[in-house]
Amino acid sequence: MLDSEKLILRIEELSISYQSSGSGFWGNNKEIVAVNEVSLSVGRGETFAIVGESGSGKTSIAMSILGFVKPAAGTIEFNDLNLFSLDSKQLRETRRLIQPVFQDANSALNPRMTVETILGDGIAISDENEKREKTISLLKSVGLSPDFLKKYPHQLSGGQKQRLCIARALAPEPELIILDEPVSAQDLSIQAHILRLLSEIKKTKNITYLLISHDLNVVRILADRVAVMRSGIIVEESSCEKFFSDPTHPYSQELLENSGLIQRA
Amino acid sequence: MNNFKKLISKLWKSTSGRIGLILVALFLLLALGAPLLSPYDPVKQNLILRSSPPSFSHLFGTDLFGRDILSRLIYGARVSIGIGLGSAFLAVILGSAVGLAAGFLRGRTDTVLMRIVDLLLGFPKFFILLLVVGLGSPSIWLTASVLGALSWMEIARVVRGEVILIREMNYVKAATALGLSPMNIALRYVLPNVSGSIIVSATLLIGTMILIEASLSYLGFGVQPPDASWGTIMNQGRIDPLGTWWISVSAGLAIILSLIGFNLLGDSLRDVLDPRTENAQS
Amino acid sequence: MHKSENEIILSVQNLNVKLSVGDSYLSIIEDASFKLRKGTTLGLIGESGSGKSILCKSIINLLPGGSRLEGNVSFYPESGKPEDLLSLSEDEMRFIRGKEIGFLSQEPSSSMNPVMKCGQQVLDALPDSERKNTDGVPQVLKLLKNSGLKEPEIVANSYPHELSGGMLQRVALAAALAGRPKILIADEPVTALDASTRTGLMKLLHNLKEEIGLSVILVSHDIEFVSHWADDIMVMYFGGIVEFGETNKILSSPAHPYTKALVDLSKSFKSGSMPKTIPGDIPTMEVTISGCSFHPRCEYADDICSTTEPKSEAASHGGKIRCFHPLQQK
Repeated sequence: MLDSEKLILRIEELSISYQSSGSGFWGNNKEIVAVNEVSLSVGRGETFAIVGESGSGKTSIAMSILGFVKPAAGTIEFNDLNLFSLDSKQLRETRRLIQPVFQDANSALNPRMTVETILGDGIAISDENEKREKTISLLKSVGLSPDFLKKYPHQLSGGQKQRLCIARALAPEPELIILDEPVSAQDLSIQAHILRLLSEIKKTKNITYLLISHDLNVVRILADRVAVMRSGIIVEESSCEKFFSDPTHPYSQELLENSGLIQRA
Repeated sequence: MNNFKKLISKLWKSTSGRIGLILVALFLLLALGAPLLSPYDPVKQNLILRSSPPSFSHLFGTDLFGRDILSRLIYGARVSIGIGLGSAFLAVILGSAVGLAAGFLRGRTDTVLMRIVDLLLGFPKFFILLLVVGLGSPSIWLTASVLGALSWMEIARVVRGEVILIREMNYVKAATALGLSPMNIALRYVLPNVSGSIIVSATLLIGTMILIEASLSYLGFGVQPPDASWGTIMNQGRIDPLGTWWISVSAGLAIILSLIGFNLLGDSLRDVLDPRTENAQS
Repeated sequence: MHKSENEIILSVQNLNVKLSVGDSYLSIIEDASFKLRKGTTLGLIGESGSGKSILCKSIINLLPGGSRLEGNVSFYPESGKPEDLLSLSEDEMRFIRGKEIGFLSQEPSSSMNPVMKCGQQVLDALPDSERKNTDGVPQVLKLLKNSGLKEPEIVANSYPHELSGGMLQRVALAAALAGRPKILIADEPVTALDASTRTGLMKLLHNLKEEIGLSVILVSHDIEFVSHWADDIMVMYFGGIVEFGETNKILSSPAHPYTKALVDLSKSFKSGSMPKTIPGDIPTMEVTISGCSFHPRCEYADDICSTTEPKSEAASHGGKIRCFHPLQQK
């Protein structure tokens, strides 16, 4: 078990449900339970992966940590602060410490802003020169040259866009980055670059990753611990080595088989 | 400025965009340069030349008081297009503000604002216009304000719809996660991305406004002498439509051409500013 | 090995494709030639922007208006003379699409009509004679069942948004096969799906192929993934075919440095350690590269690579290659 003092994120009995209109014209609103009493803890500095198929509820958990989805029940504690009992000012300050990187970089960048403005918005420095220096150093830290400052997102390639998204996530110096399928939309060669970048960043900065992915290859490369979700429930949680060498839950075994990572017994 | 040039060159590529640009530019030029471009003083009466048909010295003929119709039309462009632009501008400001607030804040604000929009859309617009303009002494400013105040609802609807879509984009989520204030996000992340559809609806609205103002003035409720809009000029042809046909025909032509101009420009802007076509080209 | 395997069903010769961009034309495909053997699967490998999707679409002329195609695309029907697909009119092409050559695209959600029930969409894809016939409906249910959908009646009565991505792609497959095509072009058919549902759909596609004797062009960016299903592999880079050959030979001893890099990359993802990278970025079509298009990223490149464009030549593994310094077989 993890030492509770070293925890950065503690989720307890989190339930999330959505209203869905029924199939008929006047159909009753059905309640769909996306996440059902999930508890998990993430230690400071580790990479924690939530794996599962689409519809398993893994993205709903990420969205509720980021504050975009209100849970039906349960608590989320970040640095021992209950995110749901903060006033709006505290919430905004705390939020800056939790940054997202989304799957589709295209929709994650404001098409009407230059690279400089996109990054500048995340930097809490008012002095223009210092801000510019910080912006350039952010670009460099994700392997982009300062030539990109005046460019617009549509002038960037897919891989460059995702690098920019990572730079933006780093701008407010966060403690936790939520990686929601960070490479699934990319070619393998770009995936390789991004994965290397993510692991380098983690080595130089004391950052915790919460990785949301259906791709077990990516999970195996990045993660320290793994939780497997299915229909809103965590069915298995273990260290990465144990999960890939000796999965206990039949569903985990099925996932690994389908990904070609273990042979069918 | 570079963006503006790019926009013009994109518009120029389609025939309708080109015609729209030329017509709108022509009318704007006439309105702005009226004192330089009009061959005669538009209010100077010449009783000897009363109701003379088109000739070389008076291309569009003269009216019942012997005033040169071409000159009156050129000065009328100031009034008609001025009212069209002014009222559309007011409608865009009101409509964008309401649409942005409703779509971005959602919840109760949205419900209340959109019910007000529904209610106002249910009002017979032209009847209220007649009432308000008929009660006061209708100056150019009053006419433009009333027109604008009664025409922002469609824009509010369009803007709200777009804002709701943009609000769900990941870049808005990312900005929220950076701790930016809702006002900052609404004005810098959401509004610029709906500006394309605002510009399109505004351009189309200018044409409609010119037409409504012309109808008002034709009925005698619009701008009053000595100011004259195209509708006022057209009104004069009403007295003897067959004997002085050139009065109504030339005023009508001005109205129709400006309408075609603004509508073609609006339609082409829609094609050019649509982000989907923008993406297809890049 | 079937004896028909050396029969050719589709042959592309010296295909050049230019798309209209603003006032000018952008060359996307340059001098592409390949053959599809009857009853086999041809894996088409390339990264985004390599032109692989454009190549597929140009075969059945699904390109945007104003595109320029040159060269020769011959389809060999069961009986009768071969047809030059590029010379067909839009009306004539309609008898090829779906009936002779089916198409399965990457995004099932955008290839299906959102306001039409799935069953109806498969029904619409049936040949005219069967659609108007009363056995249209049972035929649709049979197709859905063959696509591995266990409850075809429920699926047929569902709208696309009510189904998961994996189920929807199975419906799209049923629709693509409804006209009994001889060739299926599958453009990244499982890339948008969860990793765990990919294998199931590929197995299904493979079995269907064996059953009805389909010839398949399977497009993907992952060479290791394609190697499980393809008989031949063709690698595209920057609008050109750089290597072509039998799958096992290409995978075990790739001759083109780019193919080798892709194979290494793909294998390293499976190993669990930090993957190797290919230096440099994928070039966009707007740039012009003199000589061999891969030379700026190639560790074996020398002077000739940057000045002269390599020709397609016979490779030591029996296939074709465009490279001045093919890697030696071990």
